[in-house]
Amino acid sequence: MATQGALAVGSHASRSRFRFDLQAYVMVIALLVIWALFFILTKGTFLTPRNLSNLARQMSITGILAMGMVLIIVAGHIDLSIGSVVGLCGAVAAILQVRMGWTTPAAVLVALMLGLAVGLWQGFWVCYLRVPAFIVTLGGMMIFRGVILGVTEGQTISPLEPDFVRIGQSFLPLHIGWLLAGLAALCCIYLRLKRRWERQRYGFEILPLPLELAAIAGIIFLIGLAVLVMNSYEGVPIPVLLLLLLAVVFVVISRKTKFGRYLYAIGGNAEAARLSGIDIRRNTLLAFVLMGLLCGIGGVVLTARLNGATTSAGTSFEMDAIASCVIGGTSLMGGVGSVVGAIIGALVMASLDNGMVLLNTPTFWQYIVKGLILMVAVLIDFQTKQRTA
Amino acid sequence: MSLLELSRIGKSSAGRPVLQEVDLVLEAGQGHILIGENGAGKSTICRIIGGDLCQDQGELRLDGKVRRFASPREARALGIRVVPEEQAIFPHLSVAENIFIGEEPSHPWFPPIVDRERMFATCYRFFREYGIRLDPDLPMHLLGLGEQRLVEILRAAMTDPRLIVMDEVTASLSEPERQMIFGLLRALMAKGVGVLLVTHRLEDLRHFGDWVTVLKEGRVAASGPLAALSLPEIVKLMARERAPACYPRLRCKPGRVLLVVKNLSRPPILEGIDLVLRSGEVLGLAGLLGSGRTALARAIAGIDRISGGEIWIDGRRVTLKNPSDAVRLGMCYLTEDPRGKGLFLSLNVPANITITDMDRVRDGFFLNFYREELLARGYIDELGIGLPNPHATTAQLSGGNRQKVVLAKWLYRSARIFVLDEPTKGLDIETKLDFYNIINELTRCGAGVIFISSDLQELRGMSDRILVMYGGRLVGELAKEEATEERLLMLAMGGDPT
Amino acid sequence: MFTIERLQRIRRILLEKKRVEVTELSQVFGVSESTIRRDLDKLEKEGFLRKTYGGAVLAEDSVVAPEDNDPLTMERTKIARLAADMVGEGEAIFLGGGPVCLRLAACLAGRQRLTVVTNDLEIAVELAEAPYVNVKVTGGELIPGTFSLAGSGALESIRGLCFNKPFLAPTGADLKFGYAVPTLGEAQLIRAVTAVTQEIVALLDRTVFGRLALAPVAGLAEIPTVVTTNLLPHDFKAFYLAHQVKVFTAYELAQPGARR
Repeated sequence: MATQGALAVGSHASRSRFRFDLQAYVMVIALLVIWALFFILTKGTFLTPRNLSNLARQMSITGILAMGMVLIIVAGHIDLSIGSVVGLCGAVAAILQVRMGWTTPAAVLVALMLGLAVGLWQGFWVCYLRVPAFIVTLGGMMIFRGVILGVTEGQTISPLEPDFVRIGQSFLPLHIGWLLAGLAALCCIYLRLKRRWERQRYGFEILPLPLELAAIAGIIFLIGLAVLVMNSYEGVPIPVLLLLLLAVVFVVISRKTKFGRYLYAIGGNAEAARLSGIDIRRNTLLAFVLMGLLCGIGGVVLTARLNGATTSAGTSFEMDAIASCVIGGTSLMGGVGSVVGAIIGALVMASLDNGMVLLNTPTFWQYIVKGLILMVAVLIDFQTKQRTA
Repeated sequence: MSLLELSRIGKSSAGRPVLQEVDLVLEAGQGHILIGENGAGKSTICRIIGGDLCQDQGELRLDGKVRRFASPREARALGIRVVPEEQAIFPHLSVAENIFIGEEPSHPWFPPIVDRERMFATCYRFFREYGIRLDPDLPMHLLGLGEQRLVEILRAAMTDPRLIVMDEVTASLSEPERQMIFGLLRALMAKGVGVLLVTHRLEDLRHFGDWVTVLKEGRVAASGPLAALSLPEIVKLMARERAPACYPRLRCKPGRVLLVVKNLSRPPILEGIDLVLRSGEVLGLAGLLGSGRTALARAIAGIDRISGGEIWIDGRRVTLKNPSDAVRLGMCYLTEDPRGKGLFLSLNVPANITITDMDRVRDGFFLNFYREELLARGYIDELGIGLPNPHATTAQLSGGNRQKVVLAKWLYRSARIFVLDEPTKGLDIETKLDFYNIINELTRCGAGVIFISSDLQELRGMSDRILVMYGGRLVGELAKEEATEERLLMLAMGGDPT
Repeated sequence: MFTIERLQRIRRILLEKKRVEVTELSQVFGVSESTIRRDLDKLEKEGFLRKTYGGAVLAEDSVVAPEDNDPLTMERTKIARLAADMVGEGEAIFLGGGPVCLRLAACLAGRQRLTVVTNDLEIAVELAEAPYVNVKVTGGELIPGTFSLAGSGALESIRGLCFNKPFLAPTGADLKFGYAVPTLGEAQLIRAVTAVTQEIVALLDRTVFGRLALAPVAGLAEIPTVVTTNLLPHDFKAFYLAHQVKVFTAYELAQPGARR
């Protein structure tokens, strides 16, 4: 055993990161199956550019929230308050603009700061006062819903300035869409090549050049296809663009930073994390702050999309976000989960919603199906983990 | 006719004999003490009597009838009560509910309902009879450790026992608590109940019992009336004479002083501890369970706050507020690892190793996975950590490999002071050997090691110096040459070695 | 002193000595150990050095000669270094032939008041310039193709001598047939040496295990101490453990993975 272990040095390190995240791929396959199913049942309507554009806009807010939720759950906590916080941030932005005449950038900035502050507040309760996150955020859910009712005096606040509404409703001009696609493609080429060079430098095995080029071509094709589909309707929706940008940021945070690694460690084994010299409280607090910030963003997008703030805005968003995370392979025990998985989870949830609406499925059936899908997802997750462990 | 008779009991576990030809006779009303070193097989005997295990050879007779228990339930039905070493209480139930758990008296009119009145009345009556000052209505978590153990014993005592077996129940108790428990046991014995007390403390032998059986390496070394054997004789019987041959300890010249502990206290578990650790040295720490050795290790590693005394590292006085402070000063704490206590099971091996110093694998804001894997790979190969696949999470590793990963992460961090608390417990002998050699190499590189082990052979084999703890204090320091098993045992069990 | 200057001097020291220690540097520059660690961190990121346990070494790709990077050579050096620590001051040791013993001799060259008896001419040459090591070479005739001496002359010259520790590097070790060397003459000599002492140490690198050689020297259980690395095969390890043989495995914790 020992002999082999030491002699096989080179071959070990080599296969490195070409491994696929099986979990994520299972989800992608599930997603494609769902799409195919709806495509057949709706006789093609489901996959028209118009509907796909709708779908993307529908999932954008859930996707944004799910990214933050992943971090929280991975760190071993939960956030039940995000629906209320989203509603609150949106309401405050709307009030500042409609009642007090603030410009859009100022109102948005305040909404984001408010989200951040709420995150800080709840994080402080969880990390420093050691009240379980479930309780703190359950409290927060009620408190912030109450605050919404208070500040809006129970009324719907509308209408907003056109430039505010644009955040939620408008589309990128077609040529800018293509321009961004080009930029993304260039970034992708650069990153792949840089990675290749790094691997070479550290003595890891690299893909043969033709394969590498094929991979790059594949990615560019997907980017192009996505933009093409969006542009065949009205262009890339702004919320979707926002989602994609945030997704890049959060994937990097969760995978490539010390903070991200620490979150996985803390959620996986808090005691070992403490013994390893990790500051548990500060890192967990930061996760809550990021969640708060995302709530602020979500609130702004929601208000813009609805062109106004209602007292019930954001209700039950936390459940959608949590369900997305779980469908995307996040373990509620902490320590396991990925941002990409959560986004795919959000897409699955949105696809189910969208498809069933297209099919005129009665509302009660929609809830039942979604609930069952959630349970089955966790079951599959659990089974695969048992097999590998 | 004796109450309990074991004759020629044999039991093997994983191919190794744990008990061989054990004979033990226990009369009704007798206080029988079973004494022996760690791993001598005491707990196995308790479990066989309690029906938790079944012997491979030999016979167990109760009241002269041969019995073979298939489950603890059968033993229980015949009046055998076992109080296990590990605490088993329900903290949020009351004392009375804990005592009657599983055997609640049912209400005369409607059986599914528990007859609380009868339960409490029984408790009051019993408590008064034996002079026990406990409120049966109090929730368990409000009681002290000693009182909780007392309740566990009451659970055995109040349900018409014929034989009570207690596995190291007294280890973590204070003196008055112990006396209280002995008093109760004596009263029960007067009523004809047999008591088998497993203990590690010589002190207990002065206060309790009339018969003693000494167990050594799974065999009965001696059995006789307590009055006929002196304490030093008993210790001598327990000790294994053979010097440990195959522990590869290569002594190096002790270097500069790494760690000084002065008058460290954390009442009531640690008092007035002084010790010095030099680089290149393995300092053994002997002591029984509850002697404070783990508390000391944790205090040194900054896990538990100390209430008095000083800790000096590298000639500077330090205050350790949390483990991070200790880690920054080059200290690490490693404990036995049955379920990966020191690891992040969902992360892969490199991530587990580099977590102690992520700045080394960081380029600016971003982690460099390649450098990480390369750095980690060095330790994986050098320590011979066997991975089922290159991306295995630590959950997929065996116990020995897990423990090596924990060591690797501290090597990566360049820790200088290793506090190892039973690091080899539960590992197979071959992995243990690797571990010893790694410890060797650590000291050759200038690290200092504090080594805690219940296995005295291992402790003697690997330490250069051995400190012995008893009741939260250091009671002796022995150089490697003078640390015979007999002396260590004597000190650790609270006896006088001279 | 400015950081830049200190970094420059650390670079120079490293180029000269190939490895540095944190404690040493902190004394040299009169700064705290954590400052030195930070300096080393910086240099490591530059790719100039590689941090080790308690210090740093020059990054291999810049200096180390290819043969030094050979896994077998590294393994033998590891074994020799550990074995050297077993030798106390003022002892008399016997070194048998073979590459591991040669390396051990190199490790011992700086020792004081040491007497080395050997039948290997290469070892004698290695120690020729060691000022305080007393070297005695056995007589006898050269075994063809090697630098080792054997035969009646060799036996004669060790008669009446007594050693604290003989270090032997057999070329074969087999679970059934024990340790062995390639020639009868050598075997005879080794048996003569082992006959007069208790504390025999066998130095075993990876080439030895499971290999047969012509002339058996001793059973596996007869030599009480062995020094090897973690490449020790599983069945040998089990055998040694079962027979109370003290097994030392050498690790290179200071510089793990230096093989790359």
